[in-house]
This record gives sequence, structure tokens and C-alpha cells, in this order.
Amino acid sequence: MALEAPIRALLVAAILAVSLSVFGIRMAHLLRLMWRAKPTPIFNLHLFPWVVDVPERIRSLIVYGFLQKRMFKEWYGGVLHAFIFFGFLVLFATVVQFVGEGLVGPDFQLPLAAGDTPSRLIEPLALFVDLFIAFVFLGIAMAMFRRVVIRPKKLKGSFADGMIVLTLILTIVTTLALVTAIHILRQEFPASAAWTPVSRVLAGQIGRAGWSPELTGTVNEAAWWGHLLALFGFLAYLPFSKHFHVVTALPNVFFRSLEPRGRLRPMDFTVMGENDRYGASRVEDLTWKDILDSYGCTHCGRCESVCPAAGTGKPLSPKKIVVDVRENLTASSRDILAGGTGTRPALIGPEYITEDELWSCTTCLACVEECPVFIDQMGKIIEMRRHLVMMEGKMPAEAQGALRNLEVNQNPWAFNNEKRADWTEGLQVPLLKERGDATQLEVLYWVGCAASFDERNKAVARSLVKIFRAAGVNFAILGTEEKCNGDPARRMGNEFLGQTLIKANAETLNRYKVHTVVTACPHCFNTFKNEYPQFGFNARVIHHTEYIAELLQKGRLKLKADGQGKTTATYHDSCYLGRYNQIYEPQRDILKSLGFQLEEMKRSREKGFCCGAGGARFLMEERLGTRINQNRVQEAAETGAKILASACPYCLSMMEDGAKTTNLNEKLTPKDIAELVAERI
Amino acid sequence: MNTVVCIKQVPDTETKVKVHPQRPALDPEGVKWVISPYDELAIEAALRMKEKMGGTVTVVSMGPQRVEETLRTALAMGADSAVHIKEDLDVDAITVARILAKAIQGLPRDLVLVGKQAIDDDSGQVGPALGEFLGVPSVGIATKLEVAADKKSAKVSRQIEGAEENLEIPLPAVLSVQKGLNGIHEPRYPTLPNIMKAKSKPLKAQALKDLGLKPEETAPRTQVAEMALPPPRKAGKLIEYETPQEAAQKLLTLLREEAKLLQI
Repeated sequence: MALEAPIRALLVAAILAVSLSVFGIRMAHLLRLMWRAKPTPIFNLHLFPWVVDVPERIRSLIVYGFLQKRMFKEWYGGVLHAFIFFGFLVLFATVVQFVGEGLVGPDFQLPLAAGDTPSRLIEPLALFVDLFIAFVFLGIAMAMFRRVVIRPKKLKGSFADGMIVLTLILTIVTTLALVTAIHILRQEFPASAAWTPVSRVLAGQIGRAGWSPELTGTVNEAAWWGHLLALFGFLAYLPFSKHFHVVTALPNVFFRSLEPRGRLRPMDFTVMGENDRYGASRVEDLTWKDILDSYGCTHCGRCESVCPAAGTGKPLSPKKIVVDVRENLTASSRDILAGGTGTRPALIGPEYITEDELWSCTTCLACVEECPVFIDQMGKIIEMRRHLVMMEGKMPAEAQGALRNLEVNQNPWAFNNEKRADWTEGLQVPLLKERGDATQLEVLYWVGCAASFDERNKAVARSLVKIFRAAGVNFAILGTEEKCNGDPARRMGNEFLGQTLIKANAETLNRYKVHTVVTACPHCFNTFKNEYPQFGFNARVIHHTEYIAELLQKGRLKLKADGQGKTTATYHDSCYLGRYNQIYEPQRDILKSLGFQLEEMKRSREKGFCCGAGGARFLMEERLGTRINQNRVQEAAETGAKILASACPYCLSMMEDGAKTTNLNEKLTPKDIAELVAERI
Repeated sequence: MNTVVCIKQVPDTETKVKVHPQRPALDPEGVKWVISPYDELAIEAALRMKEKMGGTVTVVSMGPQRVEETLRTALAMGADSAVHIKEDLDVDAITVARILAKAIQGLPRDLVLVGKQAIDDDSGQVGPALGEFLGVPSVGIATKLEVAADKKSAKVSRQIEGAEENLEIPLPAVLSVQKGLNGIHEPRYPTLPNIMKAKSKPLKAQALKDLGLKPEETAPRTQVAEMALPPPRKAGKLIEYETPQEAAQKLLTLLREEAKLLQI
């Protein structure tokens, strides 16, 4: 029945050759496409940090790649994936065994299985393989159950591909189990049956079924070939499938950005020509890492399930952005390799990514935080916004109005910058220019546009002044010398205007020798802390909640007892403090020291749900889907808290508006943490 | 379709207006200058016509050196060339129209567009006066414009009290643009490549003498005698109340006794 060894060897060699060639040719094609994309400083051979980075990259590869840390954020998917992933790592040994048997002959044995010395490792290996056959079965059962029965929305759009892959894996392990069982039955298995608790059971079943030696031989032969074909079919299929992540996910984790989270790539405007292109309207305008991201995406949809836009019925899905990049790349590949002058379907257009999708993003970074393989969905959105705004002048009307206000008045609204310090009336807040420079100051209080011009947030600024005074902090403000920090313009895609504002502020701050900045705005905070250093301003940047926590801890700030008993409060995490800067504790510490009973919302800390204002969304109307802020306020109300504490002017405005429009404002009072502290001084 | 657009540089709407310490005029100190919004819509209308029918768009403005920046912005929006009448004169609308007419005469034009009024002095006279000085028809506050394929005539609509007036006019003509003309509510946002291109587009500076205007021709017909800020508004009165009835009663009393608006 069994083929002659030379014929078998020839056939196996042919399968291997076909499979490896298909895989290799496709890989080369995909790498060539990556090569055509833009460079990125993430991993730049010419930069010194590359060398410094490597240990950190290896650590991250171990933690997030091999140990799958982020996968377990969702237990079901995490567990089923771990079964299959570790199963495959272990089963790799059997690939060598099968290929060896095919090419060398049926007597081939893995090197560590040879001989009868007590040092043989074949037995523990057999046990391992055998257990993982069962685990992979379990994993596949869970995965199929999820795809066929649970059908979560986030998995939509990849049913066929997913089922093909699962069927292939199922074939691989079923045939392996059969071959192992038959080997045990025939007492040909190199390890004693005691080491194969799973296959032994199957062997027992086959034995009891009373298969004839011929039938056993045929099944064995069929399973053996089935295993090999499924294995190498899988390999050839991979680079055409979403399942390509088997190859690309680990490199994607290795090459991930190690920069501060969500930091935008600064564009170089030092030399500008009339024919320069800015931002991304074609896939190859993105970086090679963006292309690798698209290869590394398995369409698991975790990003989509945490996205505030997707969750409130807006057209954006971060998963779709990444999937569309890869699909557009496939559709454009011929043109890209031919030099990029031909025709192809537009990346930003009805067939792929629409403008509405791009403008729905709040840059909350939930997708980036969630992705198990560190795909940067937001960076791609910003690159495409950059193209729309700077190359085509296309944006929502309110965004255009905001950009013009920023150009003329240095704040996103139509307020004269001369009125920037009007909120200080009656408070005698010192101006930095009266002090000469900042060397004698403890801190510069960077007020920000919201607290300078928005009535509700002026109260926060006044509270903070009260806190500074009570703690004896030597501070000053810039007053009318302050300009928008650049964040809204940058996040809207107007990098040019963003940099103009950043450079102007950096110049002012450096001129005054500012060494410490305290601000109540997480957007100002993040930009100063993580983005200004790229434009020549380096200082200690502290968020007001961090600073208040520090003042309390050092005993500089004393609180009155309120004598009201325990009030419940919940804290709404700001994306730009939390996910961008991993600052989750000071706000909670302050609330606790104020005596509140803290009730957490379901989505808090790194899972915190955006208020809807980030990414300059606070400057635009929310016309699509339901209101993000109402969604969040309802969640806050479910905790039963009386106080909805926040630490960002835009969160505060959004929560105020959400509470009013849902009539929850009688149950729940939105407050900035500085206000709660100031009430107790 | 060759269009000339006359634009005016005005203080931004958020300017803290101050009267000049020496003369009855706006104090330019600390003022942010922008293109008057209706003029910006006129540029947008001209650019859309150019995109549809071909031709050129020329922008013309008068004022001191700083006006050049405004003209560059118009070029960045997509205008082809600019004429800067570099004179810093405090003159009335009719004189401005007379000067503009001289500057426009030599330019290629099937149509002249202006904003329906500048948002600083709101006089709204330059458009009609320009028609007079150029000897061509003028239509004020136009809301619709449809140029015939031969560019010899146009159908124009304008808002009048409670109705819409539809006209057919021979070209060239002068039109003053109302917000919403042909559905235009927002001017375009200059793109980065266009800002770069604008730097090398022709911008011709001219003085009154280059235009062949004698000083008596540009002497203002009206003079501003005085300029003052409106008196500051008094703070409103907040009625404190327990019940709506009480609030209404207090309001009635105030309207009767303090405002003296009610006799009953």
C-alpha cells in the first residue's frame, strides 16, 4: 500500500517546492511593496537609538509576542488563541518528523528520538505534542463556536477566510492524531504509550473498532498525506489570507513604536516645493511599518469593539482602516511596482476609506491600546487627515472655521487673544512678563484655551489659582502671550499650522526660561510633555492632578473636613492622561483623600471610554450615530455616583453637555477634580 | 471666463475695536487683518467659475503694505494674479470705486465680483459705484449667477423684500456677492501646495499716479467727523424667585416701574 520511498520522497519534495515557492514569491512581493512605502524613524538603522532600543524590543517581543500579554485582555479569544498558538509552536517538531519521513524514509526519527540512551527527550516531547493536540482541538472548537454560534459583530467580514484557516488547522491536528494513534496501535511509536494520554485513547478506540490491517494502513497513509498537504497548503495560503499574522505578528511587535504613545510623526517643512505631497492619499504614502501593520492584522476586531466611534454608530472602524489599507495595497500593487503613475482605486474614497470615517476618530487611542500586535490605527487616520486638510483643503466646515480661528486668534474659537487672561479679573494672577523670567518661579501655570475662554472651565482655572495660593505655590501665567498648544490643529491634520503654533510657544517658553509647566488640560499636557521636545522645548510637565496629589502628599495643601459623610464619586479617565501617559492614580488618590467613596465605571483606566472630544472632535458637530458623551454619562450614572469627576476641560464640557441632554444632571454633577479640592480649602 | 474680484482687508470680527488717538479712525494697533468674508465668498465664486469654464481670476485691493498678505491669501486660494494699489488713504466708498475702476480697466474681465459689503464700514456701495464708473450693468446682493456658454450674458438672481428678482444681463458686468450665491457658504481653505505656488504668482503693486489719477479725482467726497465707541451696555438684572408666579410678578413690576414700558 505504502509508496516506494523514492517516489514518496519525490512527491514530498514536489509539495514542498510548490508550497515554498508560492509562499516565497508572495512574501517577496509583499516585502517589495513594503519597501516602496515611506521610511519611518521607528526603526532606523542610521539612528543611534536603534542599538539602545534592541533590549527593550526583545523584552516586548517576549512579553507581547510569545507570552501574548495583550491577548488575555479578552479571556475567550485569549485562551483559544493560546491553545492554538502554543500548540503550533510545539507541533512544529512534528513538521520536521513528517518531512523527514517523507524525504528520508519511514524510519526517520528526530535527532533527539534516536538511540536508546536514558537521555532521550522523545518521551516528554511526545507528551507535550500529545497534550497540545488536545489543546489545539479545544482552541479550534472554541474558535468555531465563536464564529458560527456567538458571531460577535467585531468578527464580521472574515467568516470565509476564518473558516478556511480553522478547517486547515483542524485537518492538520486530526491527521496528526490519527497517524500517532495508528503508530501506537502498531507499536511503531518511538515513545511508550504512557506518554501519549490523548492519542492512546484514540488508538484504543480504533483498536476496539476492529479495523483490518489494510484499513489501518490506508487510513494511516491518507492521514499522513492529508497532514502534509494541509500543512504546506496552509503555508502557501497564508500570505494571501488575514492569517498571514502567523508570519508578521511577531515582527510587528518587534518593530513597534517605542515612542510616547500616540506621538505624531513631525513633518519636515524646512524645504518646501510646489509639487511636494503631504500626508497620505495613496497606500505607499504611509510608512513601511503601516504596511507591516496591515499584514499583521488578523481582523480580530478588538480595536473596533473598544472604539467610541464604532460603538456609537459612526462609520469608523479602526479594523476597517487597517483592512482597507491592505486591500487597497493589493489592488494598487501593480501600479505601485510600475512606478505609481497609473490608475487605481482611491484609498480615500467610496470604495475604501471615506472622509466621514476619518473625521469620526477622537484619537482616544483605545484601538492602539487594545491591539495585541501593536498596530497603529490612529497614525494612519491622522496621515490621511493630513492629506485631506493640507493637500485638498477638505474638512468639515466647523473644522475649517476652527483652523482659521487658530490662525487669526491663536485659539480654536472666535475669541480675540487679547481676552485670554480676562478670567483672572479680580484674582491678581501674576503674569510671567512682570516677573522677568521663570527662574524664580516654582511653576508656570499653562492655562490653555478652554480654561481661558470657556465659561464653565474658567471656574476650574479659578479653583486652581485658589489651590496654588493655599499651598503657597510661587506661580505665574503667560496671559496673552499664550497661544493654542498646537494639538487641535495637529490632530485635525494641519501639521503646518500645528507646528507654527508649537514653535511660537516653544520660543516664548524658552525665552522666559520656563522649567516647570503645570496645566489642567491633558491635551496641552501631552503635547508639552511628549511632542514639544521634538521642537526644542524641554521642561518638567505636570498635570494639575499630579501636582495637587503632590501638594497633598507633601502636606503643603491642607483640606477642611466637609462633615457631609461619604459621597459617592466616579472618575472619568481622560484619554490623553490615561492611555497616552499612563496616569491613572493621582486623580483617584485625590478623590479618596477628599473622602469620596470611589465607584469605578465598567470601562475605566486603560479601558476608559472617550468623552468624544479628542482629535479636535470638540470643535466639530457630532452628526453621525448617537452621542458619545451621552453614552458615557449614562455609564457614569449606572455607578450610582453623585459626582462625576474629571480632569480635562473637554471631558468636563462633554460630561456637562451629556448630563444635561440626558436629564441626568439632577442625579450626577460633573466636576473637575480641582474644583472638588478647592471646595475644601 | 475672466473674472476680477475686488477685495478689502478688514479687521478680524473678534478685534477689540479702539479709536485712533489722533484722528477719527480705527486704531490699527494690535489688529488682526483678514479678507472681508463676503469678498472671500466672491473669490470662491470666481474660482468655481474658472474651474468650470476656464479663464483667469485676478484679485485687486487697495491699502498699505499689509494688504499684500491678504492678496497672497487670495492667490493661495487659487487666484492667478493680483493687483495691489499701494496707497494708505482714508477715503469713502465712491472714491474707492473710482480708483478700483481705473485699476480694473486694463485687466481681462468678463465679470467683476465684489462682496455685497465690507464688514468694517458696511457701506455696500463699492459694487454699484464700480458699475457706474466702468459703464457696465451692476447687480447688488446676488444669490444666483449663471453665465451663458458664450460668456456674453448671464442670468442673475437677487433677494428683494419678500421675493426673488431674476435678471438677465449682458457681460461684462459688476456683481456684488451675497452669502449663499450658487450655494457657496464657505470659502475654500488654501492647501499647502497652493500656498507655495502663491509665493511666485504675479502681484503687481501700483500707486495712484501709475493709474493716471489726479489728486482732485481721489479727493474724498465725505469726511468722518468723529468716531466713538458705543456706550458700554449696563449689566442685566437677574430676577431671583421661588415660584414662576413670583418671577412673573417681579418682571411685571420691573417693566412698569423701572423700564416704564408698560402703562397697565
